[in-house]
Amino acid sequence: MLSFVRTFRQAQRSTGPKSQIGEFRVLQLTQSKGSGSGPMKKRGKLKFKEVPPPRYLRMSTDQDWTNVWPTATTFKQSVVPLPITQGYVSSDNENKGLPVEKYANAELMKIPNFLHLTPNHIKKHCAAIKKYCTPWPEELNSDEACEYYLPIEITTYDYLNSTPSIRDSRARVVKFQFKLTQLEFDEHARDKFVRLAGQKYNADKDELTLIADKCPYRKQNYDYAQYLLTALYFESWKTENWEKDRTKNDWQTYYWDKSPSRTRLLDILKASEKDPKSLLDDNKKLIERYRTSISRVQDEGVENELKNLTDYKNDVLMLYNLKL
Amino acid sequence: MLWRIFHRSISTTTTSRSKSFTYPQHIHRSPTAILESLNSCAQTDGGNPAYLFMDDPYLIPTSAHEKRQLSLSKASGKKAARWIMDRYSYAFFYDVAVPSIPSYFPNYTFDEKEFIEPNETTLYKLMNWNKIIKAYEIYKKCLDYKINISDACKYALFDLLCIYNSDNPMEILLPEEDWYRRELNETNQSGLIQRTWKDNGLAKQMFEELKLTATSEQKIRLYNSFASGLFKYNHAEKAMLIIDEMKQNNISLDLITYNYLLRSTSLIKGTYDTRWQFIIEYLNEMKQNSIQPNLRTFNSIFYTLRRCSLYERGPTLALSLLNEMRQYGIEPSLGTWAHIIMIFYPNDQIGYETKILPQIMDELEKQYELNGNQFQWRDIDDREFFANAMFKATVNCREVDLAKHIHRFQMTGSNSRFIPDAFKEQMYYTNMFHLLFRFDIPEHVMSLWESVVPNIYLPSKNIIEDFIEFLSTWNIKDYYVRLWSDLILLGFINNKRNNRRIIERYLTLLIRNDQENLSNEEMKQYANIARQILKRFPSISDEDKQQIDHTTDNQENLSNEEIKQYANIARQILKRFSLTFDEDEQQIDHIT
Repeated sequence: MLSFVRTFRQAQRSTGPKSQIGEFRVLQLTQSKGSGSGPMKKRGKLKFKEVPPPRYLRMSTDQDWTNVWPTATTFKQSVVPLPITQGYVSSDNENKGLPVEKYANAELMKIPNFLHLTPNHIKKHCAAIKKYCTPWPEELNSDEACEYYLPIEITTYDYLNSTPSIRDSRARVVKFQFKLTQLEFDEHARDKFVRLAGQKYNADKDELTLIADKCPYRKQNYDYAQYLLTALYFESWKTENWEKDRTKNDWQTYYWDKSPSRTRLLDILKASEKDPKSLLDDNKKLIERYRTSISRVQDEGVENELKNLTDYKNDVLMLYNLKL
Repeated sequence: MLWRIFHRSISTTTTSRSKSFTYPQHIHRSPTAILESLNSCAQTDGGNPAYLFMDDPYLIPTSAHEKRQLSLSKASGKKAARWIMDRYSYAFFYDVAVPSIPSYFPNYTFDEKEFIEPNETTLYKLMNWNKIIKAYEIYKKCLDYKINISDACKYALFDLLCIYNSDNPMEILLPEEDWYRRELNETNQSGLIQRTWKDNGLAKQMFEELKLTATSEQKIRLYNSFASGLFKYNHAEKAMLIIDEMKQNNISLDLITYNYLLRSTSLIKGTYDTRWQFIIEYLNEMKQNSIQPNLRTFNSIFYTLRRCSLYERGPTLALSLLNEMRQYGIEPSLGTWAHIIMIFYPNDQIGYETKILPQIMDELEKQYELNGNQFQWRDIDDREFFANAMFKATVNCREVDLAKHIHRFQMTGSNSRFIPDAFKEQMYYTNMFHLLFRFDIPEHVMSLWESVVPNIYLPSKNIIEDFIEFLSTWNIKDYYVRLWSDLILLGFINNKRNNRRIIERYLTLLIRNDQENLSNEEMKQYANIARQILKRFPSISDEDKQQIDHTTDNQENLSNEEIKQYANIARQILKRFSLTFDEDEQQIDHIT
């Protein structure tokens, strides 16, 4: 049935006695007894507006919810046919101890609801958009395939604000990401590249990330990132003059071939043997073992230190036929 | 350059991979294509109020008067806002929007003083602002001061004069107002064809003037514009004189003039056969001048055929025209079908045997699917389709299924926009419900009624009366109480003289035969209704009022005696009700 809600008619304006033009009007804050207009007015009948019952009472159980709630809107309690409650009542005094109903429930209105994205909605939306979709290419059937065919990942961001302006300064950022295995390097070039890249190179994933956000426009940032990549690459292939001044302290790995340990070993072996040509052939295996163990000692640092050092000790002893 | 450097790393697993990789073909789509396809997922639901209104029980307008008032007041608000922006435009120049939105800015106001100097830029500006009469005045001034104006400008001005009949064009109404345009626009409510062309108006003067100095190419444009304008405003005789003049001077007509000519044939020739001869003659002429007809041409011919009502050859000619259209590869639009319906069913009796309306509906559904489940507005006559279809389905064919078919079609997708204003909608639904109340069963009708009322269609008095009769014929007792609240919501329960029949019929419904079998609940509700009636139409003596109050206080324990009393009271109410109305006829005041 209908419920009745009071609405009030407009209050009557007070009409004092009208004055002649030119006469100075006297200020009247309250109406004096005699000057009211006639006998007391009866209070007018209050107008009632008929408020229809909420809509959910008339909804059939087989209606199409996607038509009732097509887009995201705030929660409308008169439309949702479910007895939803939200609110914490701490004692039996509040709301008679019952959970708070949905009528005029501000909490329900504040939170986002997903009544516009029920499974039926999503089915319909997908069916509608399907015609714009192309199938996933068959060549890209694994991660390696993706890396093979699409070596570089370029990421840009777009932002949508509910303001009249479509600009957002965060949209200028451009990110280039790729693995170094995609580029051709020799050892020096790769080492130089990694050194030049610095923080931008992730050694675990062997990935270089270039984030360009210096310029105000995305296109400018994109061009800058491209330029940066090219410059890095070609720069890493060049050898500067001063790079020859590299000492053993600057080596990034232990180069056995250039190490003083090797020269000294060969000197020692030469001194002990008479035939210089057969040096390396005879002791090849031992020298190999010595080489691996000293390289490991130098390279691996703290990790397997004890093991590496004992290995080194054994190899040295074997090499010089010493016994401890 | 960058990509050439990338070296494909060759590992054992990649020997089977192809060197290059092609992307699948990008499916072209417009910027809003996805939004549009998502939009097509949402159909109209009769329970939602129109988007214009707030969806809250207190705020949804349920009567026709409320709805009209609310939408027109919103339109009025928009106009007021626009007026303030234009009046105090110095306050509204702060631009937040990027890119800037010109329609949110104050309109550049037309300042009289700026336009004293007569030259061409002034003319162009005035034409852009739709101030055509002023433009013509400035043009005259230019001629007086012997200022040179280019031909392009002159002919543009002349074209505008013809299009707008030597007057400034009317302002475009806001969509809310446009819905009620038939009531707001008092002139030409009956849709009769009236000659409105201003003879000896500015257009004519300019025509005479330009005729003297026109080159042959310009003459083509000149004469065609003039003839089109004359036809548009229904001055057919003068237009034919101009056409004859054109023929004498070997000036070719263009497609627009032909279209208008064909549309106005019924004003030129009297008998149906002569009209058809006329049409054929001009079509042949078009063929000779190798002018391709378009949709408008065919719709104009259909329109003329339709104006030849009760013409025996009408339907056959219409069908052959349809074939011609298909040969030209022009899809018939909704307007075409609207005309065909009127040709095949020229009045209330003829046409049932042809069964063309169901065929048209099938054809339309096929077309709808082919068009990707949407129909576009292609011609101005499209607006008549649904009203005509429903009219003829209910009056001539009298088939319930056909009417429902049409209705279903109208509700799919966004086809409801092809009912362009409130009057046509009233016609459509009135016809439909007239038919359904007479020939259909309650289950179907009630569900249809509830899906449409009150948000989409607000029934008129006659339909409500028919509805009450329908309810009483089929004895749908459960609905009576609900009907009362519906009647209040729709605004039919007030003291106006028009509505008393409704109230009387409703009350007769209530106190019909079997009141004894009513449950307590229902008795309570009926008593409630009776009380409300008394409150609303109060002119009974105090004692009776007290008696009724007394009895209704003991509602919890109803005995048979009291139930009988209620029945009596309701009857008394009815009798008294007719009496009170007679008394009140002198003092009817608005209670609601």
